This record gives sequence, structure tokens and C-alpha cells, in this order.
Amino acid sequence: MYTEDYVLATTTFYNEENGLALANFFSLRDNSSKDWSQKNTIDDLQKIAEDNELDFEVEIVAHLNVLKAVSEKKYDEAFKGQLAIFQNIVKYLQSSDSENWMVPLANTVCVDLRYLLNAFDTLDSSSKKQKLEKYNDFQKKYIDSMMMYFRICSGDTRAPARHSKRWTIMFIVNQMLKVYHKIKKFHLTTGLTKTILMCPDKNIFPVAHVVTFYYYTGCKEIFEGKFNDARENLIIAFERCYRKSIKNKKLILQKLIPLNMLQGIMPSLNLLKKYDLDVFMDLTTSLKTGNVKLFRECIDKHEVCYMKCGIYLVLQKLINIVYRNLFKKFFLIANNHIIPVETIAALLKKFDDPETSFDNAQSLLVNMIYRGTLRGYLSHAHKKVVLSKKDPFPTGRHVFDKTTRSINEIGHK
Amino acid sequence: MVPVKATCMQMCPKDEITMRKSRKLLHQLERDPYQMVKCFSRSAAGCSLNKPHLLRPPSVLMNTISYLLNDVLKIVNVPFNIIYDFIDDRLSAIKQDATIQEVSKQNWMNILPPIIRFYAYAAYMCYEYNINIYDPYLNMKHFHECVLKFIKICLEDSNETTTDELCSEMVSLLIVANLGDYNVLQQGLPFISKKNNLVKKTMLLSVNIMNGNFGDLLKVYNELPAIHQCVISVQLPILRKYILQSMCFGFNCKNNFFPISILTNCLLLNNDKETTEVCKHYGILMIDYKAELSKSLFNIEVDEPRIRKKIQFNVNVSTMILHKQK
Repeated sequence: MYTEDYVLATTTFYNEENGLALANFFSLRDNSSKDWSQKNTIDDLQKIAEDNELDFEVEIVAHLNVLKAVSEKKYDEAFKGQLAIFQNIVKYLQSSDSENWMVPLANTVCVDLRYLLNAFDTLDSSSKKQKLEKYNDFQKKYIDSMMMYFRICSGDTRAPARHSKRWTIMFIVNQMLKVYHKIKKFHLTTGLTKTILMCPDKNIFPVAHVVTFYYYTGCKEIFEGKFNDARENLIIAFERCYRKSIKNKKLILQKLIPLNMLQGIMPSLNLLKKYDLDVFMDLTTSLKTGNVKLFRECIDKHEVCYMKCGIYLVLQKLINIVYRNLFKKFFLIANNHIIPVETIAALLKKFDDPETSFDNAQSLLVNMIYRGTLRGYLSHAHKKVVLSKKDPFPTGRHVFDKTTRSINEIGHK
Repeated sequence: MVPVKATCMQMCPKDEITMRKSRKLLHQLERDPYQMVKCFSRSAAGCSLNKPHLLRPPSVLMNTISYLLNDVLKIVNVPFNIIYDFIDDRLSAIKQDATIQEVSKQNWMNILPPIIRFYAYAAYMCYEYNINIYDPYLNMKHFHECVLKFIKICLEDSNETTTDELCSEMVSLLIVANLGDYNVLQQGLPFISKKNNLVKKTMLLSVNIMNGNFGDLLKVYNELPAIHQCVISVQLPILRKYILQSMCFGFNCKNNFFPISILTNCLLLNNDKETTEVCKHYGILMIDYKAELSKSLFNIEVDEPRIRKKIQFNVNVSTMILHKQK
């Protein structure tokens, strides 16, 4: 709650170099900002700030204005005000060599700034075209200021580790990644992630930042089709994620589970229950049992959700594993090494498309043999598939990896 | 900066007509002054392109497009590669004019589709030309530039319902132009949720090819519009290589012969003679109209033979490309 005393206390915070207390003062999130109008009007507070030669006079006045704009739902004004505060703080940071106590303040302000940007996007009521133009403009300004902040912090190499601002660059990058991911411009993030990954002193970053960073890097790599890199990064994020933040773990798992499935690693029912991942429930069952029809239905049913997660195409790649499991189940029941292709077609009619033709079934088998998922050969004269006596359905991570690869990525020498 | 207001009401500005006449720079397809169309010229130091009297407003641009694709495309007594070069150059000038004067999104939506279809058609028509006469890479580059621009505009104002059909046609064209390409599929995803048949169909085809299941290629190919077949037709040679190679793995057994007529069907070739040619090219043994598919004999090092699948155009090509609204 803002009172005269609280406003005046900023001087003390400043003198004590108490970045956290100042950050708390400037935060738009957990302040009981609704109360200020009852006890003190904003004008009074501004007057107090102006009269008392406070260290952050301009920023405090601007901050109170932002609060006012937010309460009046004028998010564009709020954004502009907050941007000015942020730019000022970044300037202070630039001139303060060998000290980093102001970093928490800058971080709080820039996160709030991003929230205001989002709030503008979702809540502003102006016409669509106008809003889009404004939003793009705001976003550009935001990125520009963040880049400025980033340069100051990453260039702060001469200060002793205790006073260096370098520890926060991952945080800054994360904020920018969030903006770019929202608008799905992943190609713009490559340079940012690279600077972090090339960092020689990666252990200076707090775990919380590391988790976010690797999560977003993983998402980007899924979009680009680099599944193995994405999997590694998401595993780092998952393992270091705070034990009790179920929400974050769920987010990571939504991406990690399909990637693991690509390599033949299926999630247990307990895991899915624990993290409330119902969207994978039927999918896993159909994968394990080889029910192609059910698998396709699942994808259709949760289409929107999967697309939102960015895993739709990853799941589409799993179809070869479903076919494999179906054939394997059938082979175990038939208990015969020689199976007529017509029988396979009949099997597919039941568990996949009712209109499956002989040629369809044959081309599926050809594909499986080509990928090494199924060992054996087809005979055209007898219209039969002959399975290898020894281990016709090999398992292992590299087999599944090959099963789900794109056709142009399979190299046969 | 305020965009320039175009004032040139002809297909070719007067200045350019006099200049090109005096220097004898007339193209062989421009015998009369009223047949002349503005050339594409790069921006260079000293020559300013944004003079109002050199730029054509959107309505004139549309007329120019329909002149090029209706009248010029029909000409039969000139080799197609010359017609292609002419139209390609003039279409680039149209795109340039539209860019300089910053035409509205609605205008772009009208200008781009015929251009995109023309490039798709040209990819098929020019496929068998020598690289020195026609560069397929450049053609597809122009195609992608236009399609991606169109899709970007579609994504920006998605509330327009009237353009849905056009948009799905363009997205599906982009998908079939890059069959099996994961990144292109990612770009097409936002359009699948509209439950459009064409997008969904091409999407599934591309996913199947990505996964190596070629079973429904022929079936879907036959169901697609001719313009889509054009861009698929030129990708078939590389797809045939994948198909044939995987078949060599699948049917790899001694004395296991495969009739050519079925192979022709699998590989989407025009006749058995071509199939024999393709098989021999990859080192496959041929005995009495039968092929011995063997993985050890398959030669992966050779380039794919450039054979396109012949397409029957049931409608007038110009009508198909311009896609006149009824």
C-alpha cells in the first residue's frame, strides 16, 4: 500500500542499495495498488515525491501514473510510462560501474513491461488494424530497450564477479524469448540463444533462469525439427525444475513426452495422472496397442491443443511406430513367419482405414523394411511377407529413431 | 513516408515506349506499341523508380496481368521459354510497381494468386528445358516469395471470410510444392484448423511422404487440381528415387521379380518404356519386362532422371491461371 511514508522510504532503500525493496516498490504485480486511492490520492503522492527531492523522483511520479493508467484500463499509456521508467533505470545501470544492486529493480520493471504489452494485446479495445500497428511498435520498442539492457549487462566483464551484472543476461534473454515465442518468430531467437550457449561461465546463472531458458530453447528446436537437441534441452529443464512447480513441469512434459515417444519411450500412466496430462492418455494406449484408427481419432480430437503446444507434427511422425506395434501384435498372435499381404490389408481395414487396398498395405510394409523396423522381405510372386526368424521386430532407441525420421533423412549406404 | 500515387494508365509508361523504340529494345512479343509492357528494372543509383508517371495503379496492373496470361500465354508460334522469360520479367515489374506504391492488402490478394499459379504452371512446362535456358531454382524462388507474402497477408487479417478459398488454395500449393518438408508443414499448420478440405488433404499427403508412406500418392495426386499436379509433377523424380530405393529393400530376395507395369504405376510414370529407363538408370537388372529389385544393385549415387508426369489440362490454361470469378 502506498503511503507517504512508503514513498519517502525509497530514499532509504536507495541509500542502503536495497534493490529488492525498490523492486517491490515499483512492482505492478503484488502491490495492493487498489488501496491507494482511498487513503492518498495519486496527486498527493506525486506532490510528496516532487517536494522531497527523492532520488527516483521522475520514476516514482511516472510509476504512480502507470498505476493510474492501469486502473483506468489505458494499457497503451501504461506501457509508454513503464517503458520510460525502464529506459531511465537502464541508463542508471549504464553509468553505475562495478555495482549490480539495481539489477532486481530493472528485472521487475522489465517483466511488468512485458505484462503490460500482453495486457495491451488482449484487453485493448481499439480497432484491430490500429491495435496491430501499435502492438508491433510497442514490441519493437520493448525489444530495443531490452537489447540495450542486455548489452550493458553482457559487457560488464571487468567488474568482480560479486558486483558484475552478467548473472542476469539469461533472464533478459528469457524475456525476449517469451516475446518472440508469442508471435512465433523463432528465427529471430537464434542469435540470442547462441550467445547464452556460448557463455564460458554458465554456472553463474540462477536455476530458475536456466529452466526457463532451456524450456524455450527446446520449444524452438521442436519447431525447427531438431528433435534430439530439443529432447536434451527439455530434459535439462525438467530435471532442474523446482519440485513443487507442477504447472511448469507439466508444460515441459507436454513437449518432452512426444519427443520421448519418437524414441520409443512411453510415459507411464502414473506420470500422466500425476501431471494431469489427459491429452496423452488415449494417445499412449493407442500407440502401445497399435490401434491406428484410435490414434488418428485422438490427434483429430485434440488437434487444437496439440497445435498450441507445437507438437502436432511430432505426433504425426509417430504413426510408423503405431503401425509397427500393430504388426508386431498380429505377428505374435499369428505365430507364423510367412504372412499373406492380403491378411495385413484385412488387418489394416479393421484397425486403420476401412478402404485400405493391397497396394497400401504393401507400401506400408516396404517402408517398414526399408527403415529397419521390420526384418524380412516381400515376395511379389507369392504376395506374402516373409519375416526374419530371428528378432523380426528389433527394439532399441536407434531403431525407433530411424522409424520416425523423415524420408529424406534416412541415409542408406 | 507517404506512398506514391501511381498515374500511368497504360501497360507501359510513355517514356519507356519512346526510349525502347529509339534504342530498338523491343521484345519480339511486342510488335505494336499497345502490346508493350513495362520491363523490370532494378533500382540503381541515379534512377528513381518512384515517379508517379512511371507507376501503374492497381487496376492497370490487374489488366496487365490478364493481358500477359490471357493473350501472351496463348501464343503458339514462339518457343515457350521465350514466352516464359517475357512474362516472368513483366510480372516482376508488376510486383515492383505494387511494392513501390504500397497497394492495399486487398489489391495484393488480387495480384498475387495469378502470378503464383503462373510460376507453378511454368515449373511444369519448363521442366525439361536445359538449365541454361530456364532455371528451375529461380522460378521456385519467385513462387515461394509470392506465396509466402500472400500467406503473411492472410494471417494478418484472418477475419476475411471471402478469401478463405483462395487462401487455402495458396497454402495447399505451398505444401505440395514442398512435399515431406517439416518446416513448410509447420508454416501451414495455422490454416489446418479451418477444417478446409484441400489444406487437410495436402497436409496429410505431405505427412505421409515425410513418414515414407507413398501408398496414397497416386490416389491423392489424381484428386488434386491441375495446378497442384504441376508442382508435384516436377518433384516426382526425387520421390521416385525414394520409392524405388525402399522397394529394393522391401523386395530384396533372389529370383524375386517384379512386373514393370506395376512399377510404372507405383512410380507415377507415363509408360513402361520410361520405367525400364529409370530402373536401368539406377542399376536394376531387367529381364523380360520384369525387374529384379535388389538393394545391393541399387545405385544411390546417380542423380534422378528428369522425367515429369504428363498432365492433361482439361480447361483452358489461361482460365485456370487467372481463375476468373464467375
